[in-house]
Amino acid sequence: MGVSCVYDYPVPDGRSGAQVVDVLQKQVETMGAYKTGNFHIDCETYQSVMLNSPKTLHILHNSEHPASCFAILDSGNTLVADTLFNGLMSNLKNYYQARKGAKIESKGQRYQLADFVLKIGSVSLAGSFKGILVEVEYSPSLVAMECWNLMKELLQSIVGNIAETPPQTLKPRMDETFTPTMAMLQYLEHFNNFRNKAAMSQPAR
Amino acid sequence: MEAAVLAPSLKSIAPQQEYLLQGSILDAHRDVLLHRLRGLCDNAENSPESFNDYEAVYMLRNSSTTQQSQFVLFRVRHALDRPDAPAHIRYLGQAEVGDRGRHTLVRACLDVACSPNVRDFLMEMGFRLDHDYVAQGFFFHKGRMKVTVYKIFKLQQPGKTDQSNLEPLGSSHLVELSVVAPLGQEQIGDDMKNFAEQLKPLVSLEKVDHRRIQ
Amino acid sequence: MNHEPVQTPTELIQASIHLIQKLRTGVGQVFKDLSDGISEHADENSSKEETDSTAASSSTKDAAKDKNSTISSQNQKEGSGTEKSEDQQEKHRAILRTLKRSLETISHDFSDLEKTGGHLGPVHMLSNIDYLSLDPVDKNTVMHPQLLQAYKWTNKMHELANQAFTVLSQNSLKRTQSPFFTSAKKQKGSLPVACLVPPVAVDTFVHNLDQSNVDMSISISRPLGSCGVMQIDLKRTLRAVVVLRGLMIEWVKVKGFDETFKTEDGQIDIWSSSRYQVFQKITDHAEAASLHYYAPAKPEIAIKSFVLWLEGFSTLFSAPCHKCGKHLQNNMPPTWRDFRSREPFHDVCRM
Repeated sequence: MGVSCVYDYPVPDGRSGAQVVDVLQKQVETMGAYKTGNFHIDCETYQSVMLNSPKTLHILHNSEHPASCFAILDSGNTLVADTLFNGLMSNLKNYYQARKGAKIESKGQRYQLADFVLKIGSVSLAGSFKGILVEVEYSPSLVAMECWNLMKELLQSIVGNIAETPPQTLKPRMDETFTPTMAMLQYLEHFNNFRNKAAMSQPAR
Repeated sequence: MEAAVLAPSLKSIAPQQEYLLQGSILDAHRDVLLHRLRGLCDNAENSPESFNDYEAVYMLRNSSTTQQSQFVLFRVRHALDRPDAPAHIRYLGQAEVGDRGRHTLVRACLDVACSPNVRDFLMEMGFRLDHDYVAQGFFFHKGRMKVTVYKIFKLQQPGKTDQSNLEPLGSSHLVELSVVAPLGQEQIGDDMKNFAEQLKPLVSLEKVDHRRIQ
Repeated sequence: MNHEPVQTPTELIQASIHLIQKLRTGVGQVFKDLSDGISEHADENSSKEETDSTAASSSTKDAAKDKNSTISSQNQKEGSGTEKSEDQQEKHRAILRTLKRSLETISHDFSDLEKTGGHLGPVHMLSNIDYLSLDPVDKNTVMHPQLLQAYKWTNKMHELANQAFTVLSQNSLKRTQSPFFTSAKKQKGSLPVACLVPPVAVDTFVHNLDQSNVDMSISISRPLGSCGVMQIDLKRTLRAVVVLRGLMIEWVKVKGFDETFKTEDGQIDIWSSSRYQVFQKITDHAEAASLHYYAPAKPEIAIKSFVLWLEGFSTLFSAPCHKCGKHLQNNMPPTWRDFRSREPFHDVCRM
């Protein structure tokens, strides 16, 4: 597990998400990347009930770590546990309840390019398309500070100028040893953004 | 890495049940029991496996006044003698004593290994520390039956698990015979009953109704 | 397997095989004569008399069974055939004569064979392979013929190797003809300096090396006997194992910091390669460097400069290539460090 950066790739007006994903896939394939299967990241959100201070708990799964689940609180405090943690949540249903229609996921093709792993995922919230997330992982390195410039070179050839700076969530932890949790935190941030956007657009309708 | 396409959250979790018999033995006679167990259980050639675990029980209670009596307990345990082993959360359901035909206590059981920051995490989720203790003892297994013989220690000062800070609770060891298995395997009860018979009269393993003790 | 010591038995066996072959031809001749006579007899009978032909054919069947009975039945027919012409009878006599002659040859050959066979003693088994050939169970397996085949091959190879040796010994294949370098004394004198260092000295040397390098943690263990295995952790970038013979670098492997040189049972694994292309490449370069810095006369300096060179990789992911100024070339960071300046270069930017 190396350093990964996740970026929201904008979908221009008048083009469908599937088209943009297709273009991106062609692009990385011409760079020499080859397919290594599919990937899947999902997130479910639980809301506390009957507790003095309201709390939100996000449960994320990543197909890259199929036996684990990541439970993240609002503060960013993350617990990495067996997938059986879902069973624990069902025992807490009097205290934490899953928010309806809030299941969000990103899935798509996984590519390998030398020591890089590229993932192009389309994000869907409760079944409807919301956007595209591109993840680039540089497996051999464990410190984001060291390999950021190197990753930037590759990132810019895929997603362009969006990758001018490191992802927001990663910035304060650039010098730490990278853990899978940091990748999940980036995903969560993007997922939350997508949800907020969806919530804003809803009243307008 | 190939094709774990199915979302892990969609995988069904088979509900596990713990079948349990409990008893106790005076400290002075512990070694006799250990000797007996060593002969009865698997891996007799090895010396019995010891353990030294710290267990903290966290409670989540409803803040609304009407349901004050409702609560959930999570038991968080980690090995003191093996720092690299992961911590784990154990959830135990309400124990069913059942009728006379059933030989053991049965309760829902869920073991989840997790990262070491679990204590802070549970506190932030709204759990409060209910009680904690250190369990030191020995572990045997025969087939899928697990036998533990251990002593419970109170922590004199909270949070410190040095041997000097531990105060033994009572003058006997707890003996537990348990099997964790999927729902509805009643013949396990008979196996456990038979095994318990072989430990008599050293220790008498019974299904203990915890509600009556409280 | 053993030709020389049993010369006479071999000859005897060969003689008896020869006799058996002779006997077999004799018997074959008898059968041929018999069939000639019978077919002639049958021919003439079938043309003349139907009933007799059936009798003859039945007696032919008899004839096929046993040669003695055939002869007697033939004689019977000889007697019963009252209507046969003179020349036919003459022909029959001629056939009978030939038959008699060949029968005599057979009995002669047979007595010969009996005589030779009498001299044959039991075969002396000298090796297990001989027993193997006798084992009835092994008839179905192919072990014995394979063994024989292998034996033939070894013999052939031995022969060829001997020839090759004689041919090659005439040409000296030394790389340099100068007596200064080829002198055996000189070689013996130079080797021990690097290889024959007592383990304690190696340990203290490695310990000092560890102390003098801030970015590296170096430890030594000896899981393989006298060979020291040096494990180097460089910052949070890479891990390396270096196998030392005395103070000579024999083997280098480089892996990522999240990989391990331990096998599942806790042994040191010096063989497996990194799963990352970057570190596979660096392993190749490190091997080249261990040869570049090789100095049997001053082994300490050789290792020190190798370790110093390896330390240059602490900037593996952060330093751009000195020549092209980029980080990535073929999706790889600069994996080469110059031997003198330790400047980073891409593999293809070195020239």
